[in-house]
Amino acid sequence: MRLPKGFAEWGLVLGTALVTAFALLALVGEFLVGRLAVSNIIHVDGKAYEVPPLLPPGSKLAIGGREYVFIMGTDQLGRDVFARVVSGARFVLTVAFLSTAISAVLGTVLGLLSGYIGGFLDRALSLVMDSMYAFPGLILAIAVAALLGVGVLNISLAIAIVYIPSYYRMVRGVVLSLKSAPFVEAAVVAGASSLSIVTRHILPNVIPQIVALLPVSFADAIITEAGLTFLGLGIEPPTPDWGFDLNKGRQFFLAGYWWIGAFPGLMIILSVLGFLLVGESLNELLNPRKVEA
Amino acid sequence: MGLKEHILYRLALTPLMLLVLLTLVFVLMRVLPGDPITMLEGKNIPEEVLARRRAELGLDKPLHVQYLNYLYSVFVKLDLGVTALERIPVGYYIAARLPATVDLAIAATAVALSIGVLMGILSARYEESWFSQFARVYSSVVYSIPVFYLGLLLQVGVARPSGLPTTGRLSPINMVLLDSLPVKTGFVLLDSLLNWRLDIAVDYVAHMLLPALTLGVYISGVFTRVTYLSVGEAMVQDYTRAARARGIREWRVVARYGFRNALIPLLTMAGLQVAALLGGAVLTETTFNWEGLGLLVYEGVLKRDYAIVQGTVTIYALIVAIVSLVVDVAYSLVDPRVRY
Amino acid sequence: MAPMKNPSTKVLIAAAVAAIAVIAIAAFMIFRQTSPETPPAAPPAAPKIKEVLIIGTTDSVQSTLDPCEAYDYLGVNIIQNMGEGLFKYKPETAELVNALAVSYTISSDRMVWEIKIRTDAKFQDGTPLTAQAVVWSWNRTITLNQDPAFLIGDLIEKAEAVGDDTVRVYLKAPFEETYVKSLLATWVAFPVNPKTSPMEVVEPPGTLDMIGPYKLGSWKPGEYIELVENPNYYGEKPKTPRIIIRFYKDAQSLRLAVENGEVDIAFRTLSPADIKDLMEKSTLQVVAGPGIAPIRYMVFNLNKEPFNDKRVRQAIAYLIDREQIVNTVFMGKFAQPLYSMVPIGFLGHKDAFKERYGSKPDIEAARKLLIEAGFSETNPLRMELWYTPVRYTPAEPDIAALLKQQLEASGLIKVELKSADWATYRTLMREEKIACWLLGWYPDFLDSDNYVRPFYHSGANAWLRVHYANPEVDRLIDEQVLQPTEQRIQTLERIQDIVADDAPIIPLWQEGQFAVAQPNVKGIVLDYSQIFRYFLLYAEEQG
Repeated sequence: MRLPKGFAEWGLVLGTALVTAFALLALVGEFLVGRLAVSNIIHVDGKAYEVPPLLPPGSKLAIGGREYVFIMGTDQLGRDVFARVVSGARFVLTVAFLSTAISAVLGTVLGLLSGYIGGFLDRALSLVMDSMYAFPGLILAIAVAALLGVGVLNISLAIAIVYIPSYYRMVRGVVLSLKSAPFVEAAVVAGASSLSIVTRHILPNVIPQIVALLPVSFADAIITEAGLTFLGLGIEPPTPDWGFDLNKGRQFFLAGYWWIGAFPGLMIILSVLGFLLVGESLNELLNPRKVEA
Repeated sequence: MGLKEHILYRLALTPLMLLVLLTLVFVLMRVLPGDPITMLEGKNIPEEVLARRRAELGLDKPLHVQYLNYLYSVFVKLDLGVTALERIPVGYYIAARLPATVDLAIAATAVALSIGVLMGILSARYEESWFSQFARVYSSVVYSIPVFYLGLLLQVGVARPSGLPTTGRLSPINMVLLDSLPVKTGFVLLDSLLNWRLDIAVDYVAHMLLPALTLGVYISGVFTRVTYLSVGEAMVQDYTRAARARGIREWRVVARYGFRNALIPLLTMAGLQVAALLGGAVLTETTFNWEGLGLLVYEGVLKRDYAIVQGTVTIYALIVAIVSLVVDVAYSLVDPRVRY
Repeated sequence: MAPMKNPSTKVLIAAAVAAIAVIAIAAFMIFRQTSPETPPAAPPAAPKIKEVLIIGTTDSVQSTLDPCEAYDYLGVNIIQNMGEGLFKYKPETAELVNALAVSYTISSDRMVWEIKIRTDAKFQDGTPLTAQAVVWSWNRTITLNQDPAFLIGDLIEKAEAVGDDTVRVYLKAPFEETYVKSLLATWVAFPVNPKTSPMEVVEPPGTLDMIGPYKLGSWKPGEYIELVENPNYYGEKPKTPRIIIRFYKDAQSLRLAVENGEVDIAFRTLSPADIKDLMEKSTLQVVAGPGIAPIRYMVFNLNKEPFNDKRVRQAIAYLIDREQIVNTVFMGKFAQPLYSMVPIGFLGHKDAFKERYGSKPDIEAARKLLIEAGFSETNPLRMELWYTPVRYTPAEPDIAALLKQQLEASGLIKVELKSADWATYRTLMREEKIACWLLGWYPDFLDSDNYVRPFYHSGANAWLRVHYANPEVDRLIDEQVLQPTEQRIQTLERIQDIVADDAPIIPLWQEGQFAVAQPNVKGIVLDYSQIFRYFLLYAEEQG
């Protein structure tokens, strides 16, 4: 094992570290912090204490004989911001993951079909996809979210719909350029079935492109989710969610209570950064550019 | 096919795309619970008044009839209709809001290009330097900051201390003033200059600084990446080496070969971004109270104002079609190898 | 090879950056020097009054400025500054005084009013006000039959002009005196100029010719409205000749605007945290006033289980902690707990819910009722609590979270919070798909009847889908509006007692009115009328 060298390798290491950390957070975070994230009531020895709202980061409070430290302060309802940040990963990252998966799979399948089969199907599908692409993305997500209501699956669907055309276009483009490649023609002449051509010859060439697009897609999904909650469509309280808290934080930011939004915002930036770094570094490592002799 | 045929093909395709889009919008909006009449402020309006108002808007007719009526008015009469509650022509709103969105899109793209190209070229030129690493981190980081937060930070960090305006396109007095002046194109900068009011023009630029910066910085990362990659790629080609061998100075090499290679990807990106921005940067428009198309469409969806949403999306689709076409044309002009 | 002639990209970019920098600096310098007002006069002896005041708001005009159709808060408020009716509210009080009316007599059976009107009032084009104009205006409203028409339509059977200066009104029933006056004071009853008013709704950007201190200057829908003084108004000139009302999309941008001086007054609606912050840390002034627009409440659909069981509703009433909501979300200052649907300050108000259920949550009493109703720890009451996130206050999700916490503190209730945007919310309510939800009420006119009948009278509360029908309450409501004041108060109190016990609706809180303004602005009056009177505002030029 050697140390990572150069930007790409460092980027990959750092990015993977971030992504793994957040994935872990998403999976177990909630269990670590328990009720603190959703309620400001702490039970000690059977008595209920209310934590005051808007405590700045680093506040210490003596409750029932024990000392509690709120390292990231409390929000406008007295809930521990740190706890909310830790458990807030789950919703955002689940939505991002689900929506990326849905749009990647659907977009790829449709793109493969459309590109390979061609003809009327291709033209019709392209038309629909171009129209969807021309539709302002956030508005589409808003409309679908308003239609389906809140919840992980619904929001994921709403966001996924916006990004399907991107995958579709990219995959279709690759398929089109490969369709006339010699090795594909050779396979056709040799009598290979369409399915095997697609899966054995075309798909492998499509995958690197998809992989390159995934992290960006993921990042976009996180940002869109934050945007949706900014506009009032997101999750139900008191479920912690970075996007929701970021928006809440905005309402209190000017009044000086910066910590409510700053910490979730930081988490969003770091998680998006993690994915982008992974994507970029992978891209550079897998498709190395020629270097000067 | 050649460029001319390609253009014609695209133009012919546009009405079709519009049809699909309008159908999509129609279905989406009608499926959403509620209609414009649901949004009437009165709580206990008598049922017969509600029914009458629905009939006035044609909402009592069967859906397919409404659909066909709408298509007819858009494609044949070229009439986008009126808003449901105020009965203001949709065209009026679009004419009022479109210039704001266009201005913002152009300004933001200009900012993004300036920052992006500069940083991209510098980091490609000085490949191993710390600046290059920084630039590449920068391009990822700015994209990860939620844009409305960036806007808020700029409002607090830049505008408050310096006294720069934080919201709107003009100060309210200037807004009223500008609308009372004789020459009107809808574009604030043009109108103020054409009416010999330099002070209003300056006020506009001052107001535009923050939103343009916010959006511009946000998307500059993309341009940085694209420039860096393209210029970097060109720099290691044989023809570049040959040029260096011939004694052409490094900067000239970068400018001539490197940048030229970046032009097409940059153009594509710029086109895509402008089109995306024209879709209305709803979040930025809300943060800065910048009354553009994004806000118009967003409010239309919330108010279930079918006419506004359908009309705005129509215009938006047309713009996207035109912008893509322009990009395609620019492609072929820049790179003679490109064939359609 | 000849060197290529392409301008170096570096130069181009540098030039672009330099140009932007220059423009920015120039803009900054010029902007700072350009006073947004008209050029200040030479140093005057007495301070000059500013010619224009700018008001920022997050409200907007939803439909038209036609008094027969307008129904949203801002639209109505603007009409209140451009027009007047027979009666109006005296500023800083809840008292109705004569406006276009000079005197009136009521027949002994209280069915006929004879109202003498001013002879010196003129419309904007100089046409004098006559009794015929008043009658014509009312007819127009009733004929066009738009949303608020019933306010007049349900009151007046017939109206006729007796000579030029007297209006004879035949009521549909012998309504009580202040009730009639408050209805005649609504914007719907403002006289409009018969010569220039069409028999159809006047759409933006137009309005009608009314009698008031201001008239419409210009209107750019969605962006601003400009009012200018009306030279033909019979009464006192407005203190500030021009008012610009600028619309903002959210509370944050409004706060920034008032902080950096872009607007002189911010009214409706800044967030409590921002108002508190500005009160404590800035030189801006914060003016407060009693607020009832809107009052907030929780409503049940009594056709749906388990809310058809009175004990469940009463248990919930015992569990709600209004003070926690007011202290946490409204920082203790910006709202008041509300213990009756008849707000504080209105005829007959009593804190009925406080008397019945106490002001602090009583978990024991709630548990007892819930257990009686058949619920237990293993079989808790499962309910959905619905709210809409944007329409009333941005803190709505927080309020819902607090309510959930309060209800679940009983140990016998499990609350699932649900939300929808306003259009969906209303539709769900109308289609009776929700059983328990939060709502708000803006008064149509300022009389206790408007806080009682639309909610509790089975003949008038269909819109609410509460399905509450109590014949005794119906009878009492029908009676109170016809009784003389003393008796009316007692009847209203009785009604409040009954509905507190039945608890089909639980009143929660009322928010105050708050205006944040530059220090030199005077004349901000926020009173029970909920009318923001622009014509009282003025500010002295600074410097």
